[in-house]
Amino acid sequence: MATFLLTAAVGQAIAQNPPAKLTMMVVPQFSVTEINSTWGKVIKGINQSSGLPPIELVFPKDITEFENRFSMGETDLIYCNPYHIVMARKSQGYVPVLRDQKPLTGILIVARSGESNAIQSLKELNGKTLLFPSPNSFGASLYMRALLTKEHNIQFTPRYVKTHSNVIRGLIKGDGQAGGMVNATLAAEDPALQAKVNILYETPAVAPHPIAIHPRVDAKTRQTLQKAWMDYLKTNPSEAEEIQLSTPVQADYRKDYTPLEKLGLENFLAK
Amino acid sequence: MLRKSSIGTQVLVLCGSVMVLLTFGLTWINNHRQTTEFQEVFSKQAKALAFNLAVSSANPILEKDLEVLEILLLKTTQFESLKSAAVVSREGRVYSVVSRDPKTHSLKADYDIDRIALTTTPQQAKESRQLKNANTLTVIEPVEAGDVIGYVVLDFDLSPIAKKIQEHVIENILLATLLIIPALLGLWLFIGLTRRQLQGITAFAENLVKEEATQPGKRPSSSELLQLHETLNWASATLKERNEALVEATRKADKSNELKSQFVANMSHEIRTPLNGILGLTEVTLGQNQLGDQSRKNLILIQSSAEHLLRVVNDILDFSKIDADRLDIEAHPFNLRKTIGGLIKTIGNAYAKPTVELIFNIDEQVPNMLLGDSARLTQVLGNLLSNALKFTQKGSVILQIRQSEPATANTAKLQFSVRDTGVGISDTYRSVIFKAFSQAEPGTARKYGGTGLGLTISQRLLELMGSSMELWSKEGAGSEFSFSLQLPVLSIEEIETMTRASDDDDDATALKNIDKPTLPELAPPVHVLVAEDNMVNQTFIAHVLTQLGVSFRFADDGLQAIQLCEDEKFNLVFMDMHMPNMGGLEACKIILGKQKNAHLPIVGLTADAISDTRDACMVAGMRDYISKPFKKTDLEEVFKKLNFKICPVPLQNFDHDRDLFKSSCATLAHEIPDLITGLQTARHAGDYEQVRRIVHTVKDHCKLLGELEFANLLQTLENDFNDELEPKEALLQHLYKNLQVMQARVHQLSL
Repeated sequence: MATFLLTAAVGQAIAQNPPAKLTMMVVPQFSVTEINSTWGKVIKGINQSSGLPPIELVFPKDITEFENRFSMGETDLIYCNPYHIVMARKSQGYVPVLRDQKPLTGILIVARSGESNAIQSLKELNGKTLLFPSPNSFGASLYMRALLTKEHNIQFTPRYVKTHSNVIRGLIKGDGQAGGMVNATLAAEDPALQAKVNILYETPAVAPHPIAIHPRVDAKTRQTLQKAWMDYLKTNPSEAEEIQLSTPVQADYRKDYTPLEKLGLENFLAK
Repeated sequence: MLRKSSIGTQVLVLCGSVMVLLTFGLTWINNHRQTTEFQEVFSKQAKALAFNLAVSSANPILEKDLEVLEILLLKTTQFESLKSAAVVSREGRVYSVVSRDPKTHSLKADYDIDRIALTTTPQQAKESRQLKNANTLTVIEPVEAGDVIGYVVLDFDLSPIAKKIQEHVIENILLATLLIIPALLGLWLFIGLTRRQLQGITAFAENLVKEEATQPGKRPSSSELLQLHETLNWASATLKERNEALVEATRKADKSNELKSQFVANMSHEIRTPLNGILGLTEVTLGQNQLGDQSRKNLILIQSSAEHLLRVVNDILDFSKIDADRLDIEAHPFNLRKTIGGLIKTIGNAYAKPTVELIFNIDEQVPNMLLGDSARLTQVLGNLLSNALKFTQKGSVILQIRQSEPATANTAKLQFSVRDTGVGISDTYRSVIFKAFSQAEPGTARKYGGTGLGLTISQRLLELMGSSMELWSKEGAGSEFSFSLQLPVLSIEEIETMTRASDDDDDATALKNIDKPTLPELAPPVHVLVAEDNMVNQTFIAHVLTQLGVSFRFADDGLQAIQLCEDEKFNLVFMDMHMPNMGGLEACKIILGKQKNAHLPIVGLTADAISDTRDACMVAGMRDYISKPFKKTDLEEVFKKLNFKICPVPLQNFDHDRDLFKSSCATLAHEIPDLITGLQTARHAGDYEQVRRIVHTVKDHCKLLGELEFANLLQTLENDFNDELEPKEALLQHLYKNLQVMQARVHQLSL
């Protein structure tokens, strides 16, 4: 309660005195340098056009640190996966303001090599090693593992290979028998690479990654920020494409992300 | 080839070759160095890239982060020559491999390659290696993390580098060519300029020699050529000066030589004229009987001294004429044997020694009738023979004429040699004796006399005739002088024509003899005009003509001669060339120009021994000419040639007294008409005794006048009378007629 009050007081203070700058953290599902180049470009553009306090990118070392830091409400803006926003809402009350229109679908891929011995069904994966980017990647790992375990009762050894790209690469090198990705990341891979895998299984579609704003940023500023982002992404489609926000729409937590609260994913989270 | 070509071409070829060689050599070295450097740099860069990739790959390999490896490899896409890059495990299993897409020219991940064969030996496992073949450089760089955990394998395409190097080489060559062309052009222009300047100098030098224009050309631009140019200018000026001086000196020398020749010619003329007098009068005096023995000896000495002096003068004159190029070799037909025979006779008479035999041998094959200058040939042989006789005390002198080559129809090559058994000529003097004024030894002149010009003149004469003298000699054994002459042989027709012409006179005489075979005739009166200004010569001629029984008148100059020809009737004129008031040639033309004298024979008398005179005489219309000094026989020859019947008068019959002769003639002239009348009267009266007496008287007169033939005729007539035979009428008529002739002659001679 004291924390809440303090936070509220801080928020009030900020509301009364607009902050000199805003901080932002992007989920590290890509390398820091890549995030800096793609997101940095967009933020620079928004900073120049919005008339708002400038946004500054901060970089967490890995997903765990990312989760720790947004749970403490460290940055004003976050871009996170759908389950992260559930966590951030719960801990800090982050408000999602913007997401891509295309839904997020987790996919399980298997190597196509030699049609005869290719894996045809989920059952065949029992007791096998499955590749995932990281434990808490939402569609590719968290949601997928929960579904495979709870819905399909498949026992498997997960192997985390940091990124979606490594999942498909590891798979074709034979490091695992299947791998979790999302529809967007597979589509982004080299067609030659895509041609080497089959989609064995898909998760139900969910709302994709949102940009969320800490509640200490006042509603008016949040609104202004949302509009600024929306306008910029629409007018700079190539930059928007690079951060998987080519068709930006307004995010609505209740409608988009509350269903995830009931999926019982807590047990699958890595702490 | 280089040696014959011009200096410009040589310099151009040499410098050009050196420049081209140097430039392309340097270019080659440069290319080589640059290529090596380029390859080294490339190799280093390749190694550096491989090393960096290896360092960056260590973590992702350990983490099995294939995406990062792929990104790492894809980042090298800007290395354009990189064909492919791979990160593989120690065993060669591919973690990631990228290769250049031929369409996009950028690196692209290749997911089909699983394994790369590294062929790594254990020793090489930890080393960075570079494998190179024609177009590819492969760099294998170990990725180390404590131990080797994998390799970065980079394949570089070397063909763009090769292309670049090739472009570089072409650039270098182009640059070299670009540098060389202006350099060669510059060199060529410089050589062209230098050559033109050299040609200018050469032309200048040529003109200098030709003395056309001594204007120097343009000043050359280089210091050496300038120096040459200036030296030539200086040489030109100096040469011009010296040339002018030489021309002047030559002109002076020529002038002086001409004057000398003229002087010698004049002098010899002046000497020959008095010599004529001396020789003539000596001859005349020697002809007189009443001389005492001592006086006769003295006169013979005078005559021989004068003859010697004449020879000396002749030699000097010949020499000076040869020296002045005024001696001409004439060609006329002559009889070789007759000519040489005459010479042998003369020489034999003049130089005969009892101990020396003079022999003349002529081969039978030698043609007789030849065309040439017999006088000069005679002169040469005369010189040689007289020399030989002079220098031979005992033995023989042989003149040999042989045919050195068989005679053709047109020419004969004859070898003349005069061999003696005299003192011989030492080697030392052999070359000297042909030089003017020299004799074998200084003492020779004193011992043997002579001008020392004889051999020189002979040699020069032979040269004029296209031959030369050769000498063989052995001291003490004798000498042989020889020469060969190529002379045209007269054809039979030519000989016939000539013989007919020369025999004309004889034939005429012969015809007369046939007409009157037994009746000799008395000499008719011949009246001669002698135009001669020299008193001594007048005296000599007077003596000679008196001896010949010819009447004469003297003219002291040409004008007087013309006048006398107007006043009197002459049968013949002797005309001296050089006389005061009017010369002989002019007078001759004027006299012959008169109608009545148109056929008057005129004979020139000249002391000029120059052949021009002869032509001048003929052109003026003279029948003949006699060179001074002439002898009595020369005059007799003239009368004979011109068909005058001459009967020399034995002056001893008149005590060599011209006045007595004249008065005797006058008496005779007065007496003869009475004798004719007496003869006719006695004959009509039949008084043959009287006739015989008169005939006898006439016979005595004939003997007195030297008409011995006619005297013989009268003797036969007288004998007839003695035998009391009737004298033949024709004979008597002949006697009357001849007495009239005699009367006319003695009358003329008495005047």
